[in-house]
Amino acid sequence: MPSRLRVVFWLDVSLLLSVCALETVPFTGLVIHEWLGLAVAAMVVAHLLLSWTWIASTTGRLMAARAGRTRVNYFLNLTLFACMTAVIFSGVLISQEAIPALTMRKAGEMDADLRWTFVHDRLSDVVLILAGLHLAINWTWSVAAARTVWGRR
Amino acid sequence: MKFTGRMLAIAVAAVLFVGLTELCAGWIHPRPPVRFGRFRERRRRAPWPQPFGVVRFAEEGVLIGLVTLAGRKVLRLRL
Repeated sequence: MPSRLRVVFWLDVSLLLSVCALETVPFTGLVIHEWLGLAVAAMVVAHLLLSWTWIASTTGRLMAARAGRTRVNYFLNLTLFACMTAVIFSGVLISQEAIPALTMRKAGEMDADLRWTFVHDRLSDVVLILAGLHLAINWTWSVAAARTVWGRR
Repeated sequence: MKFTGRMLAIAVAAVLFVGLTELCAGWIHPRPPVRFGRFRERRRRAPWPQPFGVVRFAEEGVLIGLVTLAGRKVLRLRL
């Protein structure tokens, strides 16, 4: 089995589980929520780098005729990336545990800037929906990858 | 993937599960309402894991599953 496929598959599984865990603070508690959020930022970068060939080639042929599904997939992914970036950025701004520990600064009052809390909460709901759609549009690949990963055990 | 009665039953069960979880979250942790259910839940930011959290985690998984199911249906129809 190609080791790259295995890495991509388990990275994607970890991302999916992490997104589910991050959507509900009571499951992890705030401390794990924030550190896991920072880990997800790194995982998203790795996910993008591993998909870079697709991103580069699709950007080139985006306007080609008969590329409806590809176009939908591309803009869905772009929206997911934008929302994920905004969620991580707003999460860093309202952080109470991880960022203060990293920067050695006292955490600000959580409700001091309700706008960022609002952005963080609402966009995380959008991320949940977009992640489901991202999985839906890549379902065939996901099932094929799962079969390859588990098929040779 | 063909959409059958069994899949419809799974979708209905998932919606019921999410609905009941929302209801229970409201009963177990009564708080001044911010929005409803899941939004109210997220406003509580206890530093460590809460007993009810695992159900909420499952709920998020079910929600993503429902969106995926609906997304696959729409994509099959439209693209």
